[in-house]
Formats: sequence, C-alpha cells, structure tokens
Amino acid sequence: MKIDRAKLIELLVENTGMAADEIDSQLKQLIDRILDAAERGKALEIKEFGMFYFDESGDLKFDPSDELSTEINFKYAGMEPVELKPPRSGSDDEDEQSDEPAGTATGEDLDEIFGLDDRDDEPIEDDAEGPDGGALISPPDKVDRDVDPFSGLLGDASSKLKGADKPEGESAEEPEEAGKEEEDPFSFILEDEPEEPQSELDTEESDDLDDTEVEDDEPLFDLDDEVEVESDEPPFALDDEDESDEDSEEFFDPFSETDKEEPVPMAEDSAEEEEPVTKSSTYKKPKKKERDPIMLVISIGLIVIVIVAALFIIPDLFDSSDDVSQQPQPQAQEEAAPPISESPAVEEENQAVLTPVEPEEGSEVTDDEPQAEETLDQPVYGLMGDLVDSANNGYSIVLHSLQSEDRAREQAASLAADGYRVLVSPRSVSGETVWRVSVGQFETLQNAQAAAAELPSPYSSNNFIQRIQTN
Amino acid sequence: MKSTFIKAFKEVLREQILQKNKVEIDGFGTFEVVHRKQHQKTYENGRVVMVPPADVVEFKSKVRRSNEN
Repeated sequence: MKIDRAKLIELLVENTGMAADEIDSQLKQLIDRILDAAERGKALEIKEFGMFYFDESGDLKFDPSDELSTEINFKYAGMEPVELKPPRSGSDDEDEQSDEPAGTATGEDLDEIFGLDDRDDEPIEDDAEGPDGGALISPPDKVDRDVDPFSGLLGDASSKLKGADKPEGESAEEPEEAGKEEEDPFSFILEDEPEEPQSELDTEESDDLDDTEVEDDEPLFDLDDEVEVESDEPPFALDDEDESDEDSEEFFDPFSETDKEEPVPMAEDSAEEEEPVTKSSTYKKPKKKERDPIMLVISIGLIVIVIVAALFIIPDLFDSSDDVSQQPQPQAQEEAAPPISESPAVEEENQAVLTPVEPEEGSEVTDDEPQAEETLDQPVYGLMGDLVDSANNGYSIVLHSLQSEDRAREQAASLAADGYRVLVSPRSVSGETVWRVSVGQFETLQNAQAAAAELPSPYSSNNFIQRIQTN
Repeated sequence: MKSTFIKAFKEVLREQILQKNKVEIDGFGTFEVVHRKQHQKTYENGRVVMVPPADVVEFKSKVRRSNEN
C-alpha cells in the first residue's frame, strides 16, 4: 500500500487528534526544517528515527537510526555474517576488498547456514571450488614454488600459501614462522575486539540504556542534535558501500575467531609433521638417547630429594594451614610450595582453571555484555513480575491483538494473574484501532525472541514482538 | 513545531514502514522497506563472507542541494 501525503496527514490526525490543517503546517515546518538544516551542511537527526542530510553529490539522504533499522529488520534479527573462507594468510596486509561476488557457493552449505533459499544467483569461480570450502585458490606460480611435499597433502590452502611464500631452503625456519602465523589471527582478534561493541546490536543496547529516562520529558526534537557536517567532508561515510563494508567487518569478528582457529591446528600439524622428518628430529633424537642414562640418574636423584624435602615441609604446611583453613588461601600454599613436588600440581590446577576461562571471555565478548547487563538490571527487564517504567524503551511480546478494549483488558488480567508483566497498548492499524496485549519487557529483540520461544504452547508459535510505546 | 507532532510523525512512519507500506511525501521523498538478499562478499585477501538477508529502510528523494558550491 502506498501512503501519500494526504493519507499520511490522515494518519497523523488520527494519532494526535490535532486538526488536519495544523498537521499539514507542522509537516511543512518539519520538512522545511530538515531541508534548511541540510542546506546549511548540517545533518538533522530525529531521535529514534534517523538522520537527514545532503551527501557529497547533493542528494538528500536518510540514515535510519539503530532502533528503526533493527525494528524493520526484525525477521532477520540475530543473523550475522558468516565467514565461509578465511583470508589467505600470505596477503594479510591487503585489507581492501572487492565487491565482485565470487566463491564457493555450494548451495547446501548456504542453506544449512541460513536455512533460507533466497540467495543470489552468483557466478561461481571455477578454480575456487574445494571439497570443504578450502583449497586451490593459490595462484599457479606460487604452487610451483611450493617445495614442501607435506603441505600439499594437508589440503589446506593457508598452509600451502605459507609454504609457497617462503624462499626455498628455509624449511628450518618454518616452525618459527608457523608460530608467527598462528599468533597473527589472535592478535588480529584482540585488536578488533574493542570494536565489537560498535556492532549494530550492541550500540542499540547501549543507546537503549542511555535513553531509559528520556522518553517523555526531553524534547524529542532539539536543534542541539544537529550534527555539524562540513559540506564537503561529512563525518559519517556517505558512501553506502563503505558504510556497509565497515559494519560487516565489525560483524565478522565473532566468526573470524571461530573460523580462524581452523588453520591454526593445521599449521601446527604441518609444523609437527614436516619438521621431525627434515632436520630437528635427526639431530635431537640421538642426543637424547646418549643422555638417557645420565638423565635418568639425575632425575631419580631429584625426585628423591624432592620427596624427602616434601616429607619435611608438608607437615609444617599442614600445621600452619590448619590454623588458617587451607582452602581460602591457595596463594600462601603456592608461595611456600614451589620446592615441593605437590606444588606443580597445584599450579597446574590453577592454570587449568584459569586457562579455559580466558578463551571463553574472549569468544563470547558480544554475548557476555548484554548478559552481564541483564543480571545487573534483572528487575528492570524480564518476562515475569511487575511492570517497570524505565524498561519501556525495550521490546515486548504481543500475544493478543483485539479490537475491543474490554476483551484486551480481560486477557491482560488473566495473563497478569499468571505472573506476567502485561502491557496493553492501542495501535492504529490500517485505520482501525487494535488493542495489543503484550507480555514482558526486554532490552533487546533477541532477548524477547528467546523468551517468546519459551512461552506456553498456544503463545510460543503465535506471537510477535514490538517495541514498547507509551503514549 | 510541537513535540507531539514529531512523536506522532515518527510513530506513524514507523508503523507504516513496518507494514511494508511505501510512504510518499511529495516535495520531500519516499520511505520504503527494501529486502536485501543474502549474498557473498569476497575480499581481496581471499576472505569470503556470507552476508545474511536483511530488510532495510530506503529513502529516496529528488530534493537536491540548491546552493551547491
């Protein structure tokens, strides 16, 4: 359906109760103001709606706000770009990108990823096809230079290129280089992680938090919001492509972590498989054999000494620790313990406890933040309990949409009796007023969707999510 | 300009855009929801990324800056 100016004014009259000619003049004022600001090289922002400005070529542009675009995109909320193929390790410094679509569009893979059929029909590069999305991208001349017989067997494009990029005869240095290569993806990730909060969802959350108390009282439309934009070089990317590219790059990070891990084990494998055969093993192994008896004697002696020392020191430790109750002070034990044979075990345990924690923090950066906020704000957002006014900037799950207010109130009462947070709000849909009964107040669309999926049976499949609007 | 009007303006436009209605304000421009298909993006460094489908707001306007310098 097309809404023209007359229809829009009609809807606005319905919504505000103001007179039609007043609405008309207000609309004119608004448009004049937007155009005026834009003419002066400024961008005029309407909060929670978007920003109007002239781009470099003098065309009027509109950037929807995060709230609006998230809401428009609700069907695909939570879908993020998936990396199908990691970057070639040889060309890390080339960050520029081409927009030409290419690649390994094996349809099954794509459907598995998104569960959708509406992908573009795109040209498929003949030689970029590999059985598992990897392999064979390397230019032929590089392959020719690839001296290493083993990297080819691994079937991993990245390892091939690593081998290919090096001059011949440097295989002895490979472990070092492999090590560097392994570190690179991680350092890259670490650098990027702080940027992740800029991704759309996160910023939206933070915006929501910022705006919690703004809803009604603050002027919705203030000129302070006009962002100074110098006409020739606006601060935001005016080029749509650039912007989307930046966004998507930020999005990739969570995936790049998971995907980049793949080449790492391969690199390790290659280092392990190649090296023992070439040099290091041939030199080291015989030496080890010669030393073995001596080492044995020395190590036995060490063990005996450690045991004896432990026998002396352990009782002391227990004596002292009995007083202080051992568990809360692992530090004391560690400090005293190093000479003892048990101490490595203790330390190992600590490390074992620590190390898994760190990667989790790293890999779930995007997830952790909202969760942490949630736990802090748990009384603010949620499905059950009482309504919280400051949570009215979030989302709610609509269960009923009724034409009579009384029936809506009835439904709301019965839902409230079950302990839900219930909101009843009138909306005008194609000229008619409907009363929407919704439950829960959620900070993000994702949280709302998760909660909607766990509702009891009639509702779990029959609901939709809307932004909470208070009038 | 009244704040109630701005608020109503935002709300009405959002509702209409959400319902996939094309909102046309003559002398200004049109708002429309456009579907972007899922597609692959290939970077020069060999990275291939699947970009998920999305619905986005598109604003088209014939208004051009008048005092272009």
